[in-house]
Formats: sequence, structure tokens, C-alpha cells
Amino acid sequence: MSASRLREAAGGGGIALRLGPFRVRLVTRLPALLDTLQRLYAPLEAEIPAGIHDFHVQVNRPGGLRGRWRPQALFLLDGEAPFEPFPEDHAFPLFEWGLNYSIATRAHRYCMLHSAVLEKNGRALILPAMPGSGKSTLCAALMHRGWRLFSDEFGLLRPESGELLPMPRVIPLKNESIDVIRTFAPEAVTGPRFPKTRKGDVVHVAPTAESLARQQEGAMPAWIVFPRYRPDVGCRLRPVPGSQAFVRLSNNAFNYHLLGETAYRALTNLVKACRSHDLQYGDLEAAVKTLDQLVS
Amino acid sequence: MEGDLLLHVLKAPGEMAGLSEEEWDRLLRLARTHRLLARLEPLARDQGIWQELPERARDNIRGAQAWVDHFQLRIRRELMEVRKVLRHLGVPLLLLKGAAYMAEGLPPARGRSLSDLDLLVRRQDLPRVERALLDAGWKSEIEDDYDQRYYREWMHEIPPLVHLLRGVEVDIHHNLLPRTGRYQVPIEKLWEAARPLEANLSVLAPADMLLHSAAHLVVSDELRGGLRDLFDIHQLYIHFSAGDARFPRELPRRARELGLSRPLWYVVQAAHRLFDTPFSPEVLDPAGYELPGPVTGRVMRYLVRETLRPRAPEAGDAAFQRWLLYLRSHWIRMPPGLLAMHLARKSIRRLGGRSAGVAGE
Amino acid sequence: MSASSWQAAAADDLLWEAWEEAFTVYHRATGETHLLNVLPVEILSLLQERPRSTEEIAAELAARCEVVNDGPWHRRVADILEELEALSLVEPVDR
Repeated sequence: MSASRLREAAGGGGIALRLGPFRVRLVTRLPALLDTLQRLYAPLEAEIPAGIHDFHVQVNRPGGLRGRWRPQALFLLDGEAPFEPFPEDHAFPLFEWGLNYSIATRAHRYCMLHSAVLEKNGRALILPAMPGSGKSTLCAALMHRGWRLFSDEFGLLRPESGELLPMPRVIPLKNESIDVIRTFAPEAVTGPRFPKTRKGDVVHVAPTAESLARQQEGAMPAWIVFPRYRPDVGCRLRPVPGSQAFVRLSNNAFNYHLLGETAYRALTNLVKACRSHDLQYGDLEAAVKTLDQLVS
Repeated sequence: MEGDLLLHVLKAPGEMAGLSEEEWDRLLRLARTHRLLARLEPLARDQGIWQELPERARDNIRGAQAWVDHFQLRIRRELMEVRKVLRHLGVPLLLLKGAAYMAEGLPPARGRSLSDLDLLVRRQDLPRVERALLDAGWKSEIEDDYDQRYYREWMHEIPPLVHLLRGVEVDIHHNLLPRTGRYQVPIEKLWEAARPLEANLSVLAPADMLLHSAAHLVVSDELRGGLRDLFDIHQLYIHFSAGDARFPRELPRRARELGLSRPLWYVVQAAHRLFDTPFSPEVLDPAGYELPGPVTGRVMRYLVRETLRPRAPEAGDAAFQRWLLYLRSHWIRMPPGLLAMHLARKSIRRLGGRSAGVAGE
Repeated sequence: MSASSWQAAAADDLLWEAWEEAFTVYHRATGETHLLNVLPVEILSLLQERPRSTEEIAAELAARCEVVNDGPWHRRVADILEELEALSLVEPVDR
């Protein structure tokens, strides 16, 4: 779709986008949002909406008096606004954040781990998000060393088969991580810098072309690695007992409690099928090398 | 009309097998908006067509079903905890609405979400029950003195209780409708007809259960869930009349006896119109009801119908009719002077940005 | 607690999983998952055979674990029972 055709479609009946197993219909009249989408998901596979969409989303200026002084963008899911508007020039992070919200609140057909997931040689590595883990930095680094990105945020687990499904989205990097990745992988495609978000400055790293192209291809999990960034440590890998890995992973899933028995069984099987480790790292190159050795 | 697709499927679930993907796209959104999405799975399974439905539709329905399972588990557990605390008091408890449907395995329980546990106790047992629960870690949801007084003086329930750790709202009623309302339900008659499940635990008799749902739908503040509640009534009617041939005659008779002719009549009209509920002639015959004058009846019928008809998520709601019906339900509930006072109080509070603490569902 | 005796949650409601050093159990009636070590698991499995008093449990487990059934041991068992009760995994019954 050409840029002008895209704008016309997005402002009218909307465009249909793929997010791994999900289909989203997006209606927007904000050209900057479309430009960023085209840059970070190139080639953007936008279609004219047809068939079933999991999420009907609008990102537009709110009506009424709101945003008269400073332009704003409002995210609507099925016509309802789950949160307050963002400044209009933050429409892209708003869209990504809104999608995460939409998935986390509705996609209970899956067990949803709050983890980064990457794949190599047909097997998946789970990196649970813990405070101070540096998970996004490590995830972006691995993606630029031959790993296929499933997700930086959502480990989508099909409970009945134990398979993990990809949903490659941009990886948000904060503050000093931005320069770390630019040095580590100068080829990384990045989006505009969004200053002063709630988490500081944010820059998004695009998923690699391969990750996007193969986003319908799942994998069975093989490793769970709990990363922890520690500037004083080079790189240290230690096995974690299964019961501990289970407890940490279940505490960290978005919908463990909601899914109850289904999640208990799925995560038990997952942990029993995986090897679990703690990874402390200060040196990104060493961490990537250690993980490559772990899986080879 | 857009919303008719949902009605069409609820009336004839077998039609789900023949829907196009575009129709599914609309149906999923409509059903979600009206809290009926998870109902589609049992309806499709009963028809033996669940596996034929598009995978994306099934994924969405299963996602909604997971919520429902979770909330039903929370309610079952809350009931277990409440009964543990009340065991030594020996107080009879009666389950209302969703909890009763679940306990009896009635058709509306399948795929029905519920957030509160609704219990009926006798008025004289109320203080003991409330005391015991407060002592065992439940806390009153309402802190505002005005609202506390409003509940205690005028409502048919005590202010909702919530356990500090579990967060499930427990609504303890001593009657089905507010004390001051136009409809006065002789509650002892309901206790007499109640069906026991276990020691000190019972549910309403079939006709009373349907009548309670009807009365609740007509006088409740929030009509957003109205279509869902009306569908409960549709399913209850089909279920109870299939199990007992006398049920259709008993229903309007019992409504007269309990002073609930009007809500039943309104609800029968709405269900007949929206779902083609297979009511027997005696249920549809106005002669079996004690009804108000023709004008009020017509206006009320119109309001019920227009407010309940499903709408597309972005189309907005029938705000004006809802507002009228809201006034109406308060008029039924409270003497006029008190109504004016309470409404003024509510608008002031709303300006202040806090939601008002009136009895919801 | 002065309950005369204890009974375990219904066996059908408990989904057990054995790990190297510990056990997890999902309790269908509450929707909660618990991580338990060996001693509470032993207590639960005794109670699943039939209800027992705190004294009986302490005596049987002391024999099985080859420890002295003294005051501190009894207190330890009583504490575990109280914790299990708080988790709704056991409840007091009158015999």
C-alpha cells in the first residue's frame, strides 16, 4: 500500500494489521503514527479490513474541548477509552501501549507470560521480566545476533499444546540502554526519540525482517533464563530449581490467577520441559555468548 | 438494524454455523458489549456446531469464557467462606441470581459472568449475620454516613461487604426490592416456597426466581446489562416450562400473589418481542395480570424495548430513555420527596468526581 | 486451636505436582496455588486418609520421621495445621 493510499484507508474504514496470532483493525487520521508504523514494521503489511478482527482500535484526536490547547491523541478499544489521552506526538507509544493493554485484558485464550521470548534452532528461550532485569536490552541484543524475536513483552503460550507463539512488536529502550544498543548493533532500525515519557526517554527498536516475516511460526520452549543486570559482574549463569522457576514464572504471568487450573497445568508442563537458569550480567557481549553456548 | 444480528443468534443459536466472517466480526463486538460473549460457547455446543465456528471467533469466545470461569470460581469460594463463618449461627441463607443459577446448574449459569454474591437472609437475622462477617474480616464498602443511612433506611439490603483479602462484593438482602417501593414483596411467601439445597441453604422456587429477575431488571439503576438479564429470563422460562407443564399457568398467578404483575408483564413483552420466547398463551394474556392504565403500560413497554435493544459498540446508548427509566425506577423505589433529595445528592457527588454509592446490581 | 480434629480438603480438588525439593498444589475450590515442603504434605496426606487430631498427627509423624514427640515438635505440627487452615487446605471438624 502506498503512503497516500494507507492514509486514505486508515482514515476511512481503517487498515487491518497482523500481530502474530491477532488481527487488529486500526482507524487513525494521524499521519505521523502511520509514518512510524511504516518505518518500524517495514514492509508494513496493511490490508483493507475483512473478516474477523480481535481488536477494533482508533487512535485519533479526542473530540470536544480536550486537546484544544495542546494536541492530544486518544486510544479507543471498541469505542471505549481505557485511559487518558497522550500528547499527540506520542501517538505511536500510545498505540503500542494500547495494544498491550488490549491483549492483556482479553487474550485469555492464551496463557500470557510477562516475558521476552526469542527463538533459535526451532526452540524458544523465555526471559521473564523482573524489575532491574535489563530484559529489553538483552532481548534487542539477542535479536541482532541471530535470534528470532517472538516478543519483548508477551510470552503467548497455547495451553493445550505448550507451544509459544510469536507476536513481534517494537522493543522500547529507555535512557542509557538506547546508546548501548546503538553501539552494540549499529544496524538496528530505530524510531523517533520520545522524550519525557513516564519511564524517561524512549526509543523503539524495530523487529528484524526475519522476525516479522515468520510471525506465524511458533516454537516449543526449551530454556527459561531470569536475567539480572549487574554492572559489577561480567556474566554468571546458575541453574534454578524447577519449583523456584515455577513460582517466579507464575507470579510473573499476566493471567495466571485468572486462568487458574489451565495456567497451573500449562506452566508446570512448561517448566518441566525447560532448563532454568539465573543470569547475572554486566557485559552484553558476554551475556549473548553465554546464551548462545547454552543453546548450542 | 445492526444489533439484530445478536438477537438473531440468541434466538436461533444454530444460525451461528452459517455466519460469514464479517458477520462474526460484528457479532463478537455486540456480544462483548452486552456481556453475552461467553454465552456463545455453550449455545454453540448445544447445537453441536462449536468446532465448526471460525477459529478466531472461538479464540475470542474462549477468552471471555476464561473470565467467566474465574469470576464463578471467586463467587463459589466466597460462598464457601461466608458459610464457614455463619455455620455456627445456624442462619438460613438463600442464594439469589447468578449464585442460584450456578448452584442449581441452570442454563443461564453457563457463560454468565457475575461479580457479586447475592444472598437473602431473614430481616431478624441480619444484625447477627452482619456482625459475624465484620468480625471475620469483611468490611463495609460504603464509608459515607449519608449512603450508610440511605441503605439502612430505604434499601432492601445492607451496604455491600467486601473481604479485605478477596475483594468480592457480598450483598446481603432481606427483601427482593427496596422497602419503600411501590412493589412490596411479601418475603415470607418466598421463604415458604424456597427449595432447600443443603442444610440452611436454599434457592427461590422456579416462578419466584424468574419473577425476581424480572423485578430486578425493571427497577434496577443500570440497564446496560439489561439484555443479558432479559436473556436469563428467556432461558429460565424455557427451562422451567419444559420441566413442569404447570409452570406457564403458575407464573402470572404467582406474580399477582406477590404483587409483581407489572414487572413480569413488561419483561414478557420485551422477551417476546426481542427473543421470540415461546410463552404459552396464558402468559401472554393480559387478563392474567394486574396492570396499570393503558398509557403507562405503553410508555413503559416502549422504554423497556428501546433500552434493551442491542446497539453497536460505537453507536452510543439510548441515553434519554435510560434516564427516564432511571427516574422511573427511583420513583418506584422511594417516596417523591426523598427521591428529589437523593437525586440532588447524587448530582452533587457526581460533579465532585466520585461515583455515587447507590445500589447497583 | 482447640479443634478436636482436622480434615483435609477434598482430594479431587487438589492437583499435586512433585518437584525436586518441594511440592506445588493447585486447589480447585479456592483457585489458589501453594508451594509446600515435605512436612505439610505429609500432614495433608495423613488427613486425606481420615480426620485426625493434632496429637495423633504429631505422634504418627514423629514416629515416621524418627524425631522425639515433645513439646516443640507438637507446637511445630500445630503451627503448620494453623497455616494449612488459613489456606483452606484443612478445616476443623467435630468428631
